[in-house]
Amino acid sequence: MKERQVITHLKEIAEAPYDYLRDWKRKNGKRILGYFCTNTPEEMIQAAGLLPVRILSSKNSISLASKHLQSYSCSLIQSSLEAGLRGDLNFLDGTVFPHTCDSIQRLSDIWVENLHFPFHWDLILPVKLHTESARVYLIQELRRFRLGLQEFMGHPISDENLRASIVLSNENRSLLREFYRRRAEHPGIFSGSETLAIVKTATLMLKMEHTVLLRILLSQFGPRDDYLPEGVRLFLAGSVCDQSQIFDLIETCGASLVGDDLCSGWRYFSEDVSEEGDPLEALADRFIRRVPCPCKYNPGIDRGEDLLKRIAESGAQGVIFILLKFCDPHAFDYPYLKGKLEEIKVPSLLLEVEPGGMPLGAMETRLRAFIEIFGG
Amino acid sequence: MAEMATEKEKRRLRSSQNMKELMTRYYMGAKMAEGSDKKIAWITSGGPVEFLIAADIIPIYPENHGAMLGASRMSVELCEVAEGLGYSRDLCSYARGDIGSAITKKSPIGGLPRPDFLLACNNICGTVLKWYQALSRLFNVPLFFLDTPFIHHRLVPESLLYVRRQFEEFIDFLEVQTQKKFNRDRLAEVVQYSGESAMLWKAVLDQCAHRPSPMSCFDAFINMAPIVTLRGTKEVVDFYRDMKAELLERIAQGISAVPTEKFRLLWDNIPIWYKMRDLSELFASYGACLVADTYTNAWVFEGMDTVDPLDGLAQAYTTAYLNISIDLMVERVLDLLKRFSVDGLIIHSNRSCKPYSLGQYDIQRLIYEKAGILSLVIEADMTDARVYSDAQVKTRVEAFMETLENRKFSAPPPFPSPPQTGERVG
Repeated sequence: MKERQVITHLKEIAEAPYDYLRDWKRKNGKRILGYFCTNTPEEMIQAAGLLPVRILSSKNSISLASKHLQSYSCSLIQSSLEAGLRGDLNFLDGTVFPHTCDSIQRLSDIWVENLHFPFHWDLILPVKLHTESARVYLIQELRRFRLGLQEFMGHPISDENLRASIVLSNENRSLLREFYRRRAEHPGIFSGSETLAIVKTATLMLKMEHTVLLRILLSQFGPRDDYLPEGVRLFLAGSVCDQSQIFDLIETCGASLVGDDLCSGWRYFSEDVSEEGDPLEALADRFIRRVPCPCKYNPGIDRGEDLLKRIAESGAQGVIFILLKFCDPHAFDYPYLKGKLEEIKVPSLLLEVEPGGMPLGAMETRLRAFIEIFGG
Repeated sequence: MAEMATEKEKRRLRSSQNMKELMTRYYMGAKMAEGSDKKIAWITSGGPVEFLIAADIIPIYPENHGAMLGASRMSVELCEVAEGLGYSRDLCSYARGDIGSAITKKSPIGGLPRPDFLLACNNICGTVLKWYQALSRLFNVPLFFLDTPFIHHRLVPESLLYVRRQFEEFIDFLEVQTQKKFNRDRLAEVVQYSGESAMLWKAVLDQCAHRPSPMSCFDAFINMAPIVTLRGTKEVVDFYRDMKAELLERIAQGISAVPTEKFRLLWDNIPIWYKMRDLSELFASYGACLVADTYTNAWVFEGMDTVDPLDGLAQAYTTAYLNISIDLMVERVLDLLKRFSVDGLIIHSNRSCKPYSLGQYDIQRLIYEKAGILSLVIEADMTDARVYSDAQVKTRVEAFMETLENRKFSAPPPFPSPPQTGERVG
């Protein structure tokens, strides 16, 4: 396969993930587990013999979900519930809700009341990450998850399975990181929406299959004729952004995306799991080592400092905060992060993604005005 | 007119005046302590204050202050200060108001005294972590974060062990802050007062099971301040003992909160602090008394009377009402409905509080399915008056009361159709 064919293939999957998964299940006869948030240990799900699949937003307008969720809940939870209630997720055998924010926590309750998948799991991760007692609790919680999965699958998850699964995920993650590194050097080679497709499909496909495709992409990485001209170098900060139109729009307005700290981007693959020692403890330690997302508390690692470091490394000139409207944890961190950027004189722009629709026109006006700051 | 005044006077609780005095003394004491050797800690409303009291530290509750800002209608102005710093208008209005007040020193009591450290416990929401992180940066003081794992459907024993270990860590933290050895005997004593005041608080609320009810949940909202801020002290035990006696006296004298009590309702969620009087009068005009609520009941901490106080505290603080899944919340609501002979539910869908509000629509349906009880959802905010519509609330309450009226006095009661989209009455 050629690089362009790979990209087309991945974009097709990313555009209609549920069709792909339904089809995949029919062909492979394997069970699929949906999950929210990159704190879910996909390695454990893989090791149990299930396909772990990240549930992101869907494009449907919200109607069924509004009987269960107030209008002041974020687009991720509204659209996920909408997809569930519409039956779009019927290929799932179950769902895993890791403890993140208040909204996901309540979504789990509403989910289990109204959707009846064979498997439902609340992974009640600690919010605190820097103490020994939190680590002990986390390991126990992961052990409980392992037992739950074993019971559901009817077979044990051995340490060997778990280790093999960790190796598969690490390999995929390291290739994604390499892809991001090269893209920061040559931002025009892959567009933002292509990048989104590449990362998103890593959360939807069998790791082995995805890794093969990533290798093809990386081996053929290089300048090409339809190379996008390099524009103002921008960095995306925020939570999840699954809307390829936004990436396209940013580029149309004359910018190049050179990095991000999104859960649907960099945060998914930034940290590996150690392949040494007890695999379950290794999963716990990856979680502890990560730069904490705003839902977690680790006073030893400053998100703001990390953001500055990553921006410097990427050579970005400005930052776009792309936040989900009604996402409390990210909205609370925004003034602090914005302040950090002001200290080093990096301009930033805040865009909010509202549930049920994208005001692209208004966004374009603001984006153009922002990009003009750089004289681009 | 004179007659009406006496009538109102008769219904006013003596305790409310005592409470005001108690709270004034508390805030005065706290303000005086600012800048002295005495330590001040800001704490979340569901935090284990017993440790602070045992260590002779003054606890300060921004949430109680937030309610005060709401009731005195100062909240919006202070929220706008926080919004000016980049805090989204969609965030918790207690947090916004508090940040605004911390910066401007504005509030009915001239702002809160500066903290020496902070204690945030996430048994009420994840927001407190973010809010207290912001405060920690603002005041440049240490934050102790107590993590109480959420209970989905059943309590996992490992959670209690984890919380208990954090209490030990908190004691170490306190010893560093105060430079004194923590007195565990004193803690046992404080926990005993705390448990006792929680039981007295329960007894106070339980008096509303009497028909007609001697007070309404609006009285409970006002008189909850001591159980929130000062539980663990003898004064609070005395205060609620007196309040209970007053209510018993009212029952004996036949004094009720609402002159002719026709309907008994249950309130869900934090009060709408800037509309307490209006709502109280609005419901009373239909002969409806709000006899119970899920909010004030959250301070009926149970299970504190253990041999080792840390075990009891772990149990009490982990099983808080906002730290449990909606199936468990429904069980607690059903219990309240039964104990207080409730005819209908008033559900405040509070933009500020997602853990309290998301899931309410399902709770509404489940309560109807399990107990046949109807409810009304009011969309509002606890202190941000900008999202409140008087006309809309009045119309909806009117329609709801009519439905209840028809249901109560026509035989056989009509079987209502389930709620339609966008229409939350019944």
